[in-house]
Amino acid sequence: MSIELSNLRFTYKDSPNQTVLHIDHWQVGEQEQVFIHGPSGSGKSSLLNIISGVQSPDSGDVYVLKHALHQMKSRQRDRFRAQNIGYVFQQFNLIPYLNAIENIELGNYFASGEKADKRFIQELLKELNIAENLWLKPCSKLSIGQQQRIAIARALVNKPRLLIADEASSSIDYHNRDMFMKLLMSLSKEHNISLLFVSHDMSLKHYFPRVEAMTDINRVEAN
Amino acid sequence: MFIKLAQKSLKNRAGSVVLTVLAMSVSIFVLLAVEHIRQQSKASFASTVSGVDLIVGARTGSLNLLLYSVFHIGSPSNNISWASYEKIAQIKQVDWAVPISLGDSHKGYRVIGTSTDFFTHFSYGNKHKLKFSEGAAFEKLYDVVIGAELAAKLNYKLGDKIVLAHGVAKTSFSMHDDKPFTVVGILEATGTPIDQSLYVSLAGIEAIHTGWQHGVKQPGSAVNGTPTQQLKPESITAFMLGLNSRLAVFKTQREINNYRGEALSAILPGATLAELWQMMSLMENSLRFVASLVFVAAILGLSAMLMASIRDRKHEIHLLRIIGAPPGFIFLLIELEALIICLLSMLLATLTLTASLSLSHSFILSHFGLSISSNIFSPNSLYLLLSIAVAALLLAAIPALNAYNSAKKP
Repeated sequence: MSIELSNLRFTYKDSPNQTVLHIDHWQVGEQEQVFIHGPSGSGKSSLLNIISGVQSPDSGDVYVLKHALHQMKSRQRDRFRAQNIGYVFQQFNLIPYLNAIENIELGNYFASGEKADKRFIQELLKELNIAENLWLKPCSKLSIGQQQRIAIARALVNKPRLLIADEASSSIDYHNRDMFMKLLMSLSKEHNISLLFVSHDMSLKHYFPRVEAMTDINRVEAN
Repeated sequence: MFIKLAQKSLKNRAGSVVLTVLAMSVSIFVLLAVEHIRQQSKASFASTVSGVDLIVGARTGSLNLLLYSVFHIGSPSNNISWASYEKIAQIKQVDWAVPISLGDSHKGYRVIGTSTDFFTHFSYGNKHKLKFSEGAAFEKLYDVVIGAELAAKLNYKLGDKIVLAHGVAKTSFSMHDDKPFTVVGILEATGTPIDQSLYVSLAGIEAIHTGWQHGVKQPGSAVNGTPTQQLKPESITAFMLGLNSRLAVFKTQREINNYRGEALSAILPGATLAELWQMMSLMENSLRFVASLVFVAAILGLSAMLMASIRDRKHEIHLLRIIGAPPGFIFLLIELEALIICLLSMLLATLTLTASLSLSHSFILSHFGLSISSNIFSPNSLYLLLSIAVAALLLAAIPALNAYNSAKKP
């Protein structure tokens, strides 16, 4: 199993009476590609925050890649996330004032604390079809499509076993989106990475073998 | 990577960072300048006169006497008679006595009439004796010895003829132009008002004033032929005493203060300087207080700038968290940015302060009789710089904590 959640409950500290997430049991297998859709407020971001270890649940067990996140300290979860989980966002994927190489190095820095392997980074950038003349430009000067591909490279630099994409494709046009989705699907297959794709855009579900509605996972009614 | 991130992030916000650095460096400049000038003026005042046990002048405030006799600031209230000088110089505790006669100038620089004993007995700094870099003490009536800085500034050499002016104003309309003086000696630099003074014999002062009445030249009188010894002054401005034993200082002081022939004051230079510091301490403290307020304003500005930047960087902080940065990293990142800004400001402040001190050195020396060194790195100022950095880091902890909290809660 790459993700296994059971008896999970989560509330925000500022409003303890309002349960945000309540999941009896939910799991994702090794190298599975899952699409989760749901409206905003359905608990998607909280679910992702718990799986990535940015937040911890009030109760319940969280196993990610067979590690018990609910037993780890915050510092350990940060390290675990850096080493094992790749993350791609819809926007603000990169530190705008760093260039492509530096952004990828930064991803490596939190995972190992050592200097990144320059050759591996260059191979990744080539594999993701990013022209060499863009490598040293500040990322704020690049197009959204280019930024997203660099973000994927950053997500892959630590050879993660789980890739999370959060509304990752909705800000690009149809053609680029199709390219992006195909790239993401083939990369995750090729590198044996489980893929968790979260979006409200139902038109993307045909890329995925498994599609889940957030409302089916979360037993708390959205309001 | 950590430092690179902070650097690039600051560079990305160059505009507000530059303004903050300027605000900080102005305040650090003021803080350092106040502290440095305070220390240096004390040291400079204290080093201007040493080895002199008592200064005697007409009855007046001790501070006033010290300031006009040694620092050439202000004007003497009254002269004292030559007879009193001779009498007191005879007291058995007195080792040596050097008369001083003020009132003339040359291009705004003070002319001091004295005896050759001045060059042998007067010392400055840590009991340094005066030395001649060229020539020797005056011998003849119209000989003059000049200070190092004056010689350099006005480009005077041995043998040059100069004309003294009556009065101490920068521009004088009554010149002693009928009796030019010849430069016979140039003193080595001392870093005291001596560097900007001219020294002539008392007889010389007497000679140029013969034929003057009520400060006005009377035509048809000259003393070119009169030998030096015969020109005894009637009065002098003040005189300095060296005693045989320091233990005799208070006794001699009392004796002079009770002198029957004339109302005199004798002061101990060291004690009077201490009095001066006491008066100055209120001003010093208020200057320091204002300087620290300016500094507090500047670091509050720094905090505000960082605080505002954090609002703009919410996404960046979230992203850093997602790729594995612990909240502590975010905290340290903001603190590092504050530290970089602080160090840049210190650098800018120390550079400008050093530059402006070395540019204004001679101006301050000629106007205030103070020699302010342009080397601002004393243990005290390093300590001050360190506390500035600590204060900046403490205040930057506010925005850093803010960032930390926003990192904790996604």
